[in-house]
Amino acid sequence: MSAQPAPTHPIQTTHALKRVWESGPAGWNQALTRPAVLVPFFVLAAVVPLVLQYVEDNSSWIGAQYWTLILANCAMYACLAVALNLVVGYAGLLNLGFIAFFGIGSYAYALVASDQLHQHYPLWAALPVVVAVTLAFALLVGVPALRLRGDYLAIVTLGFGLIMRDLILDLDRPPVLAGHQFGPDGLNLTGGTNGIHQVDPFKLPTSLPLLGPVPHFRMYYWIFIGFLALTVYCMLRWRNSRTGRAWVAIRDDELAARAMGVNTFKYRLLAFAMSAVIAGIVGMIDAAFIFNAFPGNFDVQQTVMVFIMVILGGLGSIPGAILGAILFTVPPFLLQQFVFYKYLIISIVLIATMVFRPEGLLGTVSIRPRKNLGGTLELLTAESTIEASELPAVTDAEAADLEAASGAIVDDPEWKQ
Amino acid sequence: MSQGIGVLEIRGLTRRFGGLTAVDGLDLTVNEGEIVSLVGPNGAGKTTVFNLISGVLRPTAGSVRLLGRELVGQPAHRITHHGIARTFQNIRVFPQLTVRENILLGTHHWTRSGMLGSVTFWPGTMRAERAAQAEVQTAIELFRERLEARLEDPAFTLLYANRRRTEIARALAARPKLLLLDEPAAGMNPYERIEMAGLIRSMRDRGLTIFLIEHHMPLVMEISDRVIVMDHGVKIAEGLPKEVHSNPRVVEAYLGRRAATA
Amino acid sequence: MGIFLQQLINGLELGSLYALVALGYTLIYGILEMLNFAHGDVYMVGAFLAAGVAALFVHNEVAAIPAGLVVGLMVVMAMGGAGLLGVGIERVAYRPLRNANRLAPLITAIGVSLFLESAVQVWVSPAPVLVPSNALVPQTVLHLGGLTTPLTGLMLFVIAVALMVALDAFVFRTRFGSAMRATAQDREAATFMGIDVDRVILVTFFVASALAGMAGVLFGLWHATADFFMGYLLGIKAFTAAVIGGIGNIRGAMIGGLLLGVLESLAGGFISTQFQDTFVFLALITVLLIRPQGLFGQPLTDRA
Repeated sequence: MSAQPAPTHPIQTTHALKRVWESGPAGWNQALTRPAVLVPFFVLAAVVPLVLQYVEDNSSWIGAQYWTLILANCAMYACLAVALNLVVGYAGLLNLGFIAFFGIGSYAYALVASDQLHQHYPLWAALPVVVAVTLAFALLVGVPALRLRGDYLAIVTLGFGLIMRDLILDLDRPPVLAGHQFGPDGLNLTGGTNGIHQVDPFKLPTSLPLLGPVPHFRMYYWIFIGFLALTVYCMLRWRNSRTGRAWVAIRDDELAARAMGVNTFKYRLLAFAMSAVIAGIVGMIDAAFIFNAFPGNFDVQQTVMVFIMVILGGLGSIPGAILGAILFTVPPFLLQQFVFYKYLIISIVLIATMVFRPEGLLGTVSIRPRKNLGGTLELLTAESTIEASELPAVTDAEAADLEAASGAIVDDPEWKQ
Repeated sequence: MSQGIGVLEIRGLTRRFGGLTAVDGLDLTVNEGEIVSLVGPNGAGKTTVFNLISGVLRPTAGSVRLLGRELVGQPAHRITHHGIARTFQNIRVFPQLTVRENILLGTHHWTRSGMLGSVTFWPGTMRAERAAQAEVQTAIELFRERLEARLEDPAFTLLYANRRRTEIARALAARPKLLLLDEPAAGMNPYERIEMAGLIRSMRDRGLTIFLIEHHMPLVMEISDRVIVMDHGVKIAEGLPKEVHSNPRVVEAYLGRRAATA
Repeated sequence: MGIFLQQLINGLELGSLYALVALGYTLIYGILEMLNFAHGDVYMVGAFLAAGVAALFVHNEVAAIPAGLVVGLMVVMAMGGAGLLGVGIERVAYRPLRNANRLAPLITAIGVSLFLESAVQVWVSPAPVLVPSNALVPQTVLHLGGLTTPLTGLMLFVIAVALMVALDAFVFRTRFGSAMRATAQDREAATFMGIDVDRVILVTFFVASALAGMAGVLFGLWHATADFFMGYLLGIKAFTAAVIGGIGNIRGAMIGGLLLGVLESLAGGFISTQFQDTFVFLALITVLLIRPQGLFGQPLTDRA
């Protein structure tokens, strides 16, 4: 082997923040997902309602509860966005029926914690039920669809979302198939268009030591924030583990991933199922929060909304997903007069983002058009740190010693994707 | 150099794409510790053979056995698990993973580390991760100086030669019994080619069996124990490098009939 | 037996609707390898355009023109308008992403779909709109043996079949049609042959969308209603039909559409109307599981 010195890196004289800025989205994400940034973020987030309460107690402002409600909503969507980012950003799967799993979670909980079926499970018993039910549906849809191409998965999940909504609306009476009625008269599983009412909230203490009485909104805001923290933690742990590497590999180059022994089907299914289960748990918390499970939870517009959060925030980026959630929950609340146009605006923003900046604000996965057709995802670099060539130029003598190469890299048609 | 145990045994391997027969009734054996080169003009079907072995394509007919185990019909990821690792003609490293993570991908099939384990810091999982990280060091041993400084850099920032090295290190990390190298010296200058030749020999000296496709004849002649020549999907010659080099059928395949009879 | 035949007739009529829209899916998929989710909503817009024209002449008495002419105008407006809409969507939303990762245009398509639905909901009508079919087309119900069908339903079937035959001739027997097929097979090679790929794609979108627009008119005359959400469900069903026939295969889309319509009607008649849509979805899953290439499609690349 040659005795070449290892290449030296340029001396860093620029300020740390400037360096982070210049490192592009990959660097931004690295910086934003360090514990030194995340821990203060969540602590701050948890403290906000207390600050609001303080301001309300000491001034004439009375918006604390309202704003806590907005924030709880925001935190809920943040969880959903992070979960969608897992399945679309990490694993590259287009789950267009995503919100159906949220709905399934909320109805599953509602069924075991309300008068609908006269079951009143506490949280620790309801949680496994919700997870199991959501997982079952995720497998039902995922196992057939994930063996096929991405576009097929998209349609299948879209259809699934639609069917679930119809089922939820229709199951307020016993189903009648081929003239036979399945189930006793008066069987009302889902409450039809009305949904399920009077769902039990979680049995939680209504006041905490040091913090005093905890109003309902604040408690659930903390639950959502806590679940968000847990989810973010899991995502980051996974990203730096065998599982996360496999996901990125599959997304980058599925063929090569398979060649390295990654069971692509299994890992796709894991991502799909995990994101569905997370959505289901969020649905459960939501049902407990608003004491209701509504068929509106299954609307496709909701899926599109979570999509726009992830896309605008940036595909593949956890901070991006959270940012996207904030951007699309807080302004709509503030701009109530435009609520009628909400989905119109959202769809236009989505199209514009996809056309002009598909990687969104903080995204690390580029789905931009490439100059050469076929192949794998390209990446974003602000400035690539291209290494200088470390080999000496070949002398004439050396070249003369060896016969010139004729090996051109053949573009094998089999590799065109 | 050594003979005896057939690590790879291919019998009657055939692959048709509609009307085109890319590989036709191929028989070949690679023995333990050998470096065997597969050569032939463009379009001879060499990469197809690699694809058939590694499970990317399913053969129309024939059998591929690795140490006696039939590979045909198994999914690609299982075949890797049975002991085959490969590199690609147009280098397929994972651009968004760092060099280290790319190499860690090679360890994927033999480490036991799941989702739950990584989240809960389960000891078994942690041990598996540590073992995989240690393997990275072993894998880059042959090119430590080149890659060590670049371990934490994303693969898309690497120049060609380092990408090639990363790809090879990744394949080594899979602890294969048989290494398939598809044009390892492609796009390299003579200096780099010398290095590659040395690398291949070192890998063999560490106990690997190597089967490679290569266009650069001098390299092939220099390092191969045996050479197999294909043309239009059929094996037309096999033997020691010197024998094959002067075989008229081989010359004809590359340069045409007149050159062969000249 | 009576129910069977009746449902068969209903199914063929419903199926021709599916077939017209499925053709659009398959044409676009063949040319661009993308699923145009917004296609169902183009159908919806076509229905609204037709409803608008009808409202103009029937209720407002803008001019006393014969019903036939109104229907003709509806058709022109719906087909032309839908066609232009399709072309516009391609130009604005899909063309910039033509060489991007497969996910990208799909995500954009969802955005376009939501946009069309919201736009109609907000700017036209959130509630279903009536199409004055009774003022335009005789509402006779035909009887044959014990079977019945509204004239409008039969009209739908006949016109749809006529259009399908015309499309078939266009794609398989004209020069432009072979340019379309060439582009569908290999876009790059087509450019080498001197084919203006952009124009081919444009025309494909126009034709696909015009067919959907026509389907919208026919539906409006058949069921006398249109609402902003009608394209969503129909779109999924039409896609299912295209998959059953073999996505990318034109004759497959026609047969798939008719077949799906019949299956759905039979399921509705014999099992339950409530769960008709669920059966369609199950049909989709089944086809994808056991024969993903559909009836007439190429087997998908075999991977181990």
